[in-house]
Amino acid sequence: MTRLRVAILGSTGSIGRQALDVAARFPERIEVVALAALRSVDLVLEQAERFGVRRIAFGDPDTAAEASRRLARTVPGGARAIEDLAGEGAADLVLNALVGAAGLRASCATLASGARLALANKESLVAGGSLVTDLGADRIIPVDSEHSAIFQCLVGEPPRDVARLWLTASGGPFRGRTAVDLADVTVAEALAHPRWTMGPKITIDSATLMNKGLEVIEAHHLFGVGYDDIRVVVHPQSCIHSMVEYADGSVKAHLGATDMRVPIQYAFSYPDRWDAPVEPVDFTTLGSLDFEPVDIDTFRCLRLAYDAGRSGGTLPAAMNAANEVAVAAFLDDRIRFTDIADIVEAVMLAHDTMPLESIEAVEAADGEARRVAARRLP
Amino acid sequence: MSDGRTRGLRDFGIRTLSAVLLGGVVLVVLFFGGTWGLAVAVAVIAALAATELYALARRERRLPNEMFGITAVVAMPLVAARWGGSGLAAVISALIVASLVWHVFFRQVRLSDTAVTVFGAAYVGFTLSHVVLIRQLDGGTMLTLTMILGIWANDVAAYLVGSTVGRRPLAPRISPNKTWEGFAGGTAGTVAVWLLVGPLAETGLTVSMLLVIGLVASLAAVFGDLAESRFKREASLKDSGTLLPGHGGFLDRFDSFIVVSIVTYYMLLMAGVQ
Repeated sequence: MTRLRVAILGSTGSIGRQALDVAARFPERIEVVALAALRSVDLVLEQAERFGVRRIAFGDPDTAAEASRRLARTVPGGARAIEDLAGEGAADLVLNALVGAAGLRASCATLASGARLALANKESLVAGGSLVTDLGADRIIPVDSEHSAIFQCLVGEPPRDVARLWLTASGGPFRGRTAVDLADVTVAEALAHPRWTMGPKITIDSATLMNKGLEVIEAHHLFGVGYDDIRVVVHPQSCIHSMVEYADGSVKAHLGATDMRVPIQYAFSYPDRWDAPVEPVDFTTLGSLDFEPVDIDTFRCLRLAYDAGRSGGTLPAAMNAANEVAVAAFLDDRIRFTDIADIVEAVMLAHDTMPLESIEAVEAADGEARRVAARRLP
Repeated sequence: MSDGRTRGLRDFGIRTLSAVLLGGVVLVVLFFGGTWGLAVAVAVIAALAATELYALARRERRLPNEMFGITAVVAMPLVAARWGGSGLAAVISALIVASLVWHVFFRQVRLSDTAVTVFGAAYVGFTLSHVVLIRQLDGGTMLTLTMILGIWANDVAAYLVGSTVGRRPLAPRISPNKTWEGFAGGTAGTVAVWLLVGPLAETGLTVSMLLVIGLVASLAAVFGDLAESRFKREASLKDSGTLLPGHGGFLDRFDSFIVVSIVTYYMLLMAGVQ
């Protein structure tokens, strides 16, 4: 049987490693043909050895040089190297699990090559929007748990019958607190996520609800639903991963274990489903599922994301870039938790929104926003 | 983070200084530049204001053809200086035709994009060019001066009266700081300017004519300001409720002129000025 040839960009991150777990479970179905990471040379070489992968690339040129030395052959390095790896066409499916706006070019290269794109890098769609979807929206399979849930709820349904998307949010570690409480939050408190274990940047985004904001914009581009029809609801148990409401009032919800390997595996197996070693949901012991409205006054980042999305053009890219700078500064203990929203808002107000004409325009907006955000750091 | 109060004082100082400088330049141009000098000044101001307006449009997902729009905006006052009102009509017509040709050839251009291209040029260029037309009337220099001083008096008087006895909000959702008391004060200021400075133009305008012009000009100034505030508000972060800041500010500073110049020109014509 022909195996699915898979390239994994960002193989050393949380999603990348879990994807390799899935690949290890199904060696007869998946062939890993390429790996890319920024600079974790030891781990990548170990992964390449384990899965017999020849094509590797590193975002950091020095790391690539080191790898070349160790393997006694040329290993490509630099930003373009990962983009080229994605666009080569050696894989049937490319999993983009890169972090940040750097993933945009890889997403575009993947779709341009004709391959399927398993997208875990939400910043691609937030910043790139139609630049990405115009290259092949039907070949994008979301890996983000909420979007995978919506994707699965949409299987077999005509898109025009969709009335509303309901994105569920755990609410983060500060659910229920007010703005005053949040001013003195520490990095350690912010990194304690109630349900999922994820990388630091996304964990902070989860605490500010900017992660949900990015997911709203991502959902708009993936599923073509207007912002007025994308709603966020806080669901602390995170058992329901998202819901789709149809024109006749019927709602489909996707429930499952809190395990990222499930949506990753679904992206590989779609349209089939393979068995997964996860705890099935036991409804008899599940208890209650709670829902609350989201406190959009305290968690201003969510509102800013809706604003950016509605405005369109390069404003979401600028918002995303400012957020990356602000979150990094918070993790470095340079600013307070509540300053993140302030900085993002200030950058958005100063930004001269341009239409989404090219990747260069997006990258220019991204770069300018980072500079403006950096100037606002103490 | 920085001290909001010292920043506020410094901003006020900068604003006053730049207003004085700008005012000085305008007066010098008005008295020593002739019609052409004024036309060039209007062209520069209008071009800058137009870029700001188009930036607001881009925040609302519109794609104006800024090249066509700004070219038209620069051309309008210059054409008005040479060919008057019919010249203006010709430029607007040329812009409409050019925009439609563009619309035909570029598939991604929508009706709302072309509409904003033409409206942007009309809102800023066509209107402000009427200052040049006023300049070309008999006693034009003094009439233009009266109009400018009238707008200035409207701002200052409204601010002074509003900040001391202002209580009832004029348009709370559009411009939170305006009051009815301020509006009354501003109107009195503009009317006073027209009654006192207007006769210096020696165009035979009667007191009642000057009174009416002053009243209508004052109303026009306020509407110009409110309209521009609404545009900025719409292009702001709506869900967050935070407004765009001064943003360069040419549109902010000349928004009253936009409506006052057209209204004043036609009223002067109706009053018999040639």
